[in-house]
Amino acid sequence: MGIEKYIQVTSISEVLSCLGGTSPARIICGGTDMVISLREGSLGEHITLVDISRVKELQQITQDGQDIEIGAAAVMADIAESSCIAESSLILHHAARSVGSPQIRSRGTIGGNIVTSAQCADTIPALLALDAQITLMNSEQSVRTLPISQFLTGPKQTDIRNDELLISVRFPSLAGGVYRGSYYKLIRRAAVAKSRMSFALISAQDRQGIVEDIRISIGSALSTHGRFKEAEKMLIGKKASLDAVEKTAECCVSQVVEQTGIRWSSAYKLPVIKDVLCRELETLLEMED
Amino acid sequence: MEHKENKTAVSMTVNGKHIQAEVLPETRLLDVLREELHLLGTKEGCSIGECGACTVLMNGRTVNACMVLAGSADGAEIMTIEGVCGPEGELHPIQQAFIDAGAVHCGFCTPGMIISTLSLLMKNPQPKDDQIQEALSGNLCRCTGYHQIFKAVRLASERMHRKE
Amino acid sequence: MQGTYVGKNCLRVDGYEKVTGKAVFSADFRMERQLYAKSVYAPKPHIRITAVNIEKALRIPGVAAVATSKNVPGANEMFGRFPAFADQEAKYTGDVIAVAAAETREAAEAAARAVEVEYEELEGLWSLDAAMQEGVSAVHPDVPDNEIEYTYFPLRKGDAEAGFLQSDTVMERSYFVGWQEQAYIEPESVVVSPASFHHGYDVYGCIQNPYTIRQNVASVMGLHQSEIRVVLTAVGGSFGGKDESVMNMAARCAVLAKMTGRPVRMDLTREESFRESSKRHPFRMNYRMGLAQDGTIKALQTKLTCQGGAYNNKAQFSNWRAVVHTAGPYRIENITADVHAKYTNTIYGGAYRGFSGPQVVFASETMVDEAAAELGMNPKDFRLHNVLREGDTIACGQLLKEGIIAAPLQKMIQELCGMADFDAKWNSFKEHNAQSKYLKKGIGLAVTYRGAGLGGEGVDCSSAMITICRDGSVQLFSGHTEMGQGMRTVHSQIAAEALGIDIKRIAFKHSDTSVTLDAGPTVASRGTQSGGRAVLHAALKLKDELLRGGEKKTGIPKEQLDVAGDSLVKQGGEVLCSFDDLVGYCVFPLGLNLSAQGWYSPGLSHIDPETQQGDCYQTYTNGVIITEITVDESTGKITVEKITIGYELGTAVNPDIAYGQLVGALAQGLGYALFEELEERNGELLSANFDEYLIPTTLDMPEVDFHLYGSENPEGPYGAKGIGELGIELIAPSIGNALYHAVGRRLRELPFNLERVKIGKALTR
Repeated sequence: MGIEKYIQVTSISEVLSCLGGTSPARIICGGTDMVISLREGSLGEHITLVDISRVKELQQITQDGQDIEIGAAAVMADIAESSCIAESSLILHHAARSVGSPQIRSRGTIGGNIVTSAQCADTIPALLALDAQITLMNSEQSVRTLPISQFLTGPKQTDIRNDELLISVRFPSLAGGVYRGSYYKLIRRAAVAKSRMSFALISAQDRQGIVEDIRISIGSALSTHGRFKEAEKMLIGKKASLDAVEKTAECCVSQVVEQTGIRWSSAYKLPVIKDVLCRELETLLEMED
Repeated sequence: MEHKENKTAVSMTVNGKHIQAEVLPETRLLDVLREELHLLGTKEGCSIGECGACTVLMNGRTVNACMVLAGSADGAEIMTIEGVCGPEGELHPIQQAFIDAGAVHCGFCTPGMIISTLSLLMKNPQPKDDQIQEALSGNLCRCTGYHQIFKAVRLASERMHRKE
Repeated sequence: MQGTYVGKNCLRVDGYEKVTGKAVFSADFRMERQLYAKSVYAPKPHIRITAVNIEKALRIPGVAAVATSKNVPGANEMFGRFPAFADQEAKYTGDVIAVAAAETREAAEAAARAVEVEYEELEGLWSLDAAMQEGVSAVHPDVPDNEIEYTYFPLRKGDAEAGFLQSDTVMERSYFVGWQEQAYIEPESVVVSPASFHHGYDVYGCIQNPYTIRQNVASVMGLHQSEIRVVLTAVGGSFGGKDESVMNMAARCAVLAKMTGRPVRMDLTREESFRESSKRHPFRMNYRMGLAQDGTIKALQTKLTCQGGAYNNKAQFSNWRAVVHTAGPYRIENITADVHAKYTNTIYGGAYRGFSGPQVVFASETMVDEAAAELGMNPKDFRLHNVLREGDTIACGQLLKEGIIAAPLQKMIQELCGMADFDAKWNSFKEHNAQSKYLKKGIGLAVTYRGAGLGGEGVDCSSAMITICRDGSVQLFSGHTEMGQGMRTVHSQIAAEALGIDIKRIAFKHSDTSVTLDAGPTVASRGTQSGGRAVLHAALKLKDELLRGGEKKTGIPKEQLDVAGDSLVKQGGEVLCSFDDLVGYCVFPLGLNLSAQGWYSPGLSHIDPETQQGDCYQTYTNGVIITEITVDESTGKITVEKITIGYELGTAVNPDIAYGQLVGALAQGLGYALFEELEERNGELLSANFDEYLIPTTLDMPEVDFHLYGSENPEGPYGAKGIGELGIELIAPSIGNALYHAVGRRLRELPFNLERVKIGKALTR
């Protein structure tokens, strides 16, 4: 087997001291992806595993003024059960609740979801819609902060460097304001299955129904996770209408085709993107069915 | 087991007993339970965290023992199906309810199912039907179609509530 | 019927071990000095093997032996052409070329990886449609037409061509269903050890049909069947599946046990289980139906083609069942039906709960619904008009007559549709759908009748043994196997009822071919219907002996005595002595034989091989389902909201267990209908674990309104019929019919996954 060493740590500084060395160190926390890779033998040889599941500083969910900060090692069950998250960012609450099974949510972490950056990662579309910021720290203990949209650089690729640890993810709370959100995850059965696609939407409207803000993010649609800024622009400043919603949805479809081309799954995914977006936007923007 | 240099010692509390084991980095909690401690009630069905047959309680939460490395469980409190019975081997109300409701067919998913039920009823002694379904959604059963299992959980909840 | 035990919800006799984790499943069964075995599978699905080099594997520390076909002492080929070890050629992805046995799992895995197989890749027949083309190459060279042996059956009733000429409308439709995996939660596992006390080998494991395994292991080892002993551990579900795979595993481990002189265990991973275990057979089903304007079905012609896979030991049976049931429970005077099966270079079909029933019921119940729609009739009215009733003859010519074979479907359709509010919802859902942009509601109906037991598929003999110990405790043995279905409990109830004793006296003993008698396979819903008769036979023989003892003890003629309520009683109920005392007296001084063997054989059935007209099955069970669904038109996702279901199954010996069997089967049928799908590419299996092959979870199960209907079945023990499979047949067509009601689109392939519902076709990578 590929693991040479297994190191159990309890503080961020201990983790950082393990990184940046010569032998390749991999961070393990909940293990819900890593143990599968280990079984498949796809982890590589002579690996040092650094287990951060006991680093308390990385597990906190805190509110700091208007900002919510979630430690990278916070497990999905904690996020799903957190009243702070349910109040500040209901879409993230739903996304965390939709992850795997109760057993997987006991172990799987938000940091793991972000760093693995799978197409079907459940929390990433929600975090993109929440305009989340990623905080990283390197072995010199210097901190780097960047928007999640910049952090996610490609299919299963992120901007994390060899000596960096993902510390937390942070976003402004939407509590008490005009914001509304929706999270819809499409799977092949009723529960506990890999997401086929997921849709995270956030909106704000004024009293007249003019769209002040709209954020659209769709999981398993683009090869690199990201928002649909062009489509968002089409709605902002306009009164929501069936026609406007449909055009927005079509714009999203065009962006998918532009970025990924026509693929084997497009015959299904493209019409679903359009129809689910229409459905979700109609409900979110309180339009009559 | 062949000897390897990189074995480390882990200790944990399993069903109230303190235990120690020498493990390789890739040894899973499931292997410690089944192969080292001979606690064979915890089953292996898929090895990828999908079926829930290996469900145990770890620090009060349900986990798939096939997805937890033994090192991660160092210092943890673990409960397996063998720890569910009373000290004299008497059945827990959940176990009795599974028998009474006909929720046991082949029995392979049953230990995991009972652990998930235990976890649910500890947190939520009188769950609603949808909460029961949600709490057991990570435990696959191919025999029953689940309805008798739901009935067992309701029965256990009623009996445990009446007792209090 | 209602007795002291029969018709009652007795608790499972194997519950305690299973809720405490003490039940010993195969992976929990350990032997001293056991070795671990790991298979070397075909590196590509269809290859010519040019060399197998095991030298490197043997040098790995801890490796005890590596077996190939060269080490097989007897015949390398088993029933159904399965090779113990593929030697010249590997015909599908699950063929095993070598097996390594080592001191640890890790060493065995390393050795399996170190075995070098040199090969040339061959073209293959990767699908049923490919195999149905003219002039394809043969999977087995000695079967040049590629038709699986003994799988062609014609069914002829009346004059189909004349029926079509009399028809106002003739419809043709083609249906297709793919593989389904049994997906028991326990993967296969066996341990084979040199026998402890005699020459030969002992096989332990999760095995559905121990006598089949015994026969094939004996042949591979070149031994007599008497030299092989098969002992069952607890079986973690089987549903037809733990048969060919465990047969192959046991044979390979036996070869290694001979080579090493040690016990050899093999535990499959889930991926290996998917790779080398049998599946439900795929079928292409072409239907042609002639209809009169008034809704009468005048004629039916069907052509069914089964995909057998690379090897086959079941299609000759399942095809027969398919053709006999192809017309569904309808009074059709003119029927021509033909069934064939083809070899392919793919995973293979075997037994899976329902056998070929779910396939043909999907086709026939969709066809009937399409016919109703074509004529503009309500599907309920169309079925009521055509459904079989008392006095009718079914497709194979058997007469429906009260007290012999019940004909309850007309009544069941009416009652269950009433309970489900079918007519009202048929209309109100359409109104709802006109208003609702994305979510559409539908209600669908399906009806079935199913031959219970083996019928003409084989000889439906069963065995049992009962021994009363000196202290009055009772040992019960059956030649059938418990796989979770509750057979031990039901058999215990039958024995307790017949003997008049407390069920707590009975200990159900383990299946062990050195003790139990060959009862054939535990399949075809025959555990209760046929196996229960053998138990009853043994119990009644014993009771007679006990009453003989009672007569000697009391001086009262045995005709006036009975054993009831755990006592010897005089007719009228007066208690004469306890059961313990009665047994004691029979043992000493009488010295009576308190062991009895039960046997049941239905005798020969007479079926015309040219037409399949005859006594195909002793009896039939019946079912009606009404399914309500919601379809999300934006995604193609179907949610099953509610099921109203009724089954007629004679006497339910244990209604709770019957309920569990039928709802459990319903769940498997729901998966088959909605998302269970094995993706393949050129013979390679892409879905190999529960992350890709999805089975229903707790949250997938709808509300079920469940109803049992009784009837008389003179053939079954206390009037019982076999029920293990009936529950799986109905749900797929009823969902498809509800889908048509909801969105006006007809799907003729399973499963109704997101893509088929949304865009009308599945995607291929």
